[in-house]
Amino acid sequence: MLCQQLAVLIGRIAPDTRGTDVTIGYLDPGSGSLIASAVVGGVAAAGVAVRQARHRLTSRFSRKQGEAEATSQKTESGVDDPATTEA
Amino acid sequence: MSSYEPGSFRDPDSGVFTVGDKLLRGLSGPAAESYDRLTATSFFLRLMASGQIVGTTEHDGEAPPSPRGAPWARVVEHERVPVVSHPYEWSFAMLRDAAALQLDVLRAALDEGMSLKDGTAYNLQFVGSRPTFIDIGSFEPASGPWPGYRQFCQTMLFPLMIQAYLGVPFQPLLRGSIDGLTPSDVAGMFSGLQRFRRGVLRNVTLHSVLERRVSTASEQVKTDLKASGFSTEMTKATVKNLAKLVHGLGVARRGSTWSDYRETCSYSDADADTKRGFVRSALAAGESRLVLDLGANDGAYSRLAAEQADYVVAVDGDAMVVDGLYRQLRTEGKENILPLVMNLVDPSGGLGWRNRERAAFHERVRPDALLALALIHHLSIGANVPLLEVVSWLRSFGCRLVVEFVHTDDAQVKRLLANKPAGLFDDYQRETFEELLTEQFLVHEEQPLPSGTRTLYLAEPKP
Repeated sequence: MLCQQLAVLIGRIAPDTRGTDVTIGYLDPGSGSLIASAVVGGVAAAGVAVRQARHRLTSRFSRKQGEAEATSQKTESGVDDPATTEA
Repeated sequence: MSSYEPGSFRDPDSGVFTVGDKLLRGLSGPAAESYDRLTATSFFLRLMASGQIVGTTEHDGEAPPSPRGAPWARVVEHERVPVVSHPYEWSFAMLRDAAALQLDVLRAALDEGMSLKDGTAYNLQFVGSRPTFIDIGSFEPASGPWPGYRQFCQTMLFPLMIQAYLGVPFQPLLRGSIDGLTPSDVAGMFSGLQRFRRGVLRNVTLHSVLERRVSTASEQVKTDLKASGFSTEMTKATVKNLAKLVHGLGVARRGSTWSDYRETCSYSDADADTKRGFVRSALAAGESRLVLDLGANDGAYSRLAAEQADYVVAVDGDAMVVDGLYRQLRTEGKENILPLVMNLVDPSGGLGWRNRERAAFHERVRPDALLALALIHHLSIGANVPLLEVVSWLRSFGCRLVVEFVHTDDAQVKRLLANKPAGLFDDYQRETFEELLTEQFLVHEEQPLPSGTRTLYLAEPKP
């Protein structure tokens, strides 16, 4: 049950990279494999997923806030501010 | 004269090379620090003494720089494994015992603050029936989850699972990819209730989903895991669960084509006695340090050879028969017979980078004597290899040969010929074989068996 919940949770928070070529760098253990190994150990890796979700939400929130500020500056000055506008 | 082992380039911190007859490993600065920590542990000496880790001592002679040009900080010398073999040449029980040893070594290391940086099946070798861990450069201070989990799954756990749960032989698949089977490859093999077999949901299904969906960098995941309270104790729990899973995997001991050959073959007691006597005296006639037994079946003649030889490699294409032989040898603790699974008509070629990372079988095994007993008819009639090709192949080993030719009036040959169109193998005759043999070999002895349907030859390759 924990595994399924974890998979669903991570499936929701992370982009689907199906079709990308996943290669093993010699010492790159693979992100998914690291989490899977934690689950195999019976570890409540949900904590990791929650932290990842928080990272993503935080970064999205920061991005939206940045966009809002940029829009506001653009409205005021009539030009894009490269320091605050996302590429 | 030094040369680098072509299969040891992946880890920049460690490289294996030979200088003369010495097998050496160079270690970078960080790897040398890890080695110092390793040698201060008790498990390292303990497992080395029991043969579970390859014998390793410091070497203070000259060493070439690493393939990347930097000098090594430290050089160590390894005991040599008599004959290098690869996981796709191992039977099920061999791969399972090797996997169990990898986990045992890791558990012992974790208990003393060390870990392994990888988890590939190529970290292990066999000395007869004894698996041994050879990658000393893999030890590093423990930190976070086991980075070798994925390699372990791909080259050991998944191959074992597909054989145990689905009845799919792993050898051709491991031979097909040096990195083994990916979680997605294996997830596609399990369907319906098979997905609920022990260990599949976590190690295969979930692993496959996570591999596809988690795009966060590995280092970030490690940091997150640590921040979530992941500790060495939790890595130990992972390894413990994997060990339980591996120990529980087994294959049904179903009969195979050759599993009851000894009971059903056409040898009379007199034939068997004569054959044993001939093989024994043929091997005693010259140096027999390394004997290669081709088509070894249950290893009866490999055992005979092992009475005189330092080491015997017993090769057979029937994985079930080889598995049975390995289990017996393991029980007996015999370390001078190495059983291997290989189709002689399709032997292991070079794999990996430039086809050199894992050497072809014929490059790894240089015997002093060759046993080819009750084999020629299977190659020539069963697999359509022309007799000339068979004899030239035997000559290519460049060593003494003990070969048996089974005549056309023997029951086994009649059975093989019955499955082929009439007249297709008219050249399969004793006279033709002898003619071809004497073209490439000096035949020292010839011994017909009492039944009159088989003849044994002792021959040396012509210079």
